[in-house]
Amino acid sequence: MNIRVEAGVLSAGAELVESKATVEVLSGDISPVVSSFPLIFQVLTIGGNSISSINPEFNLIGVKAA
Amino acid sequence: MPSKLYGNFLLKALNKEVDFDTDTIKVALVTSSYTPDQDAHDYLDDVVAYEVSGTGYSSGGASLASKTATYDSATNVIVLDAADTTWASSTITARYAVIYDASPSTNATRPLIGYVDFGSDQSSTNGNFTITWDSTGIVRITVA
Repeated sequence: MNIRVEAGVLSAGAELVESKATVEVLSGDISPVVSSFPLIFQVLTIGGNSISSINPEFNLIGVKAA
Repeated sequence: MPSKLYGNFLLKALNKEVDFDTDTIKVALVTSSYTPDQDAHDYLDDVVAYEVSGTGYSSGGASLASKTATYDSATNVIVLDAADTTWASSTITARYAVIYDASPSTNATRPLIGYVDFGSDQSSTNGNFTITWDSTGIVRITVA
């Protein structure tokens, strides 16, 4: 004995969820920022000597330095 | 008769676990002891214990032949289709047909696609057990 069964269609839906992009435009004047930091570097000194010239053996601080 | 996709099918397809074009897609027959769970059942290991046995039926079911996957731009529908499936000279009693991807190596990794509920037990006796897929396709995914 033969049997024939008819299958219904298997269905699905698909949709792309609507997405939104927000761009906020800044208003007002945008002034260029100019650095005021001096381009000429100061030479740091201790007791009249530049730091780079201090002998490392005497590079003591605090009570020991006294 | 009710035919439904398993809830995880599209997820598995998007995760590249199902390739309808190139993978072996099979349809297995299962008994009325099986209770489909569209949400919880995702791999063949959820179903295999209820598979039918009988003359003319091999474990795992039959491969879908002449598979096609097309997109109809007029209706915005993706259609997965195949030739009708027949177990010839068989003696089988089945309540459900379950479609799955048989390419992965284990039942625990073979994703379920969908199932057809015949509504009641259907039997063949030393004859053909044929599933006639819907004329509009086996699976239709409408893109909105």
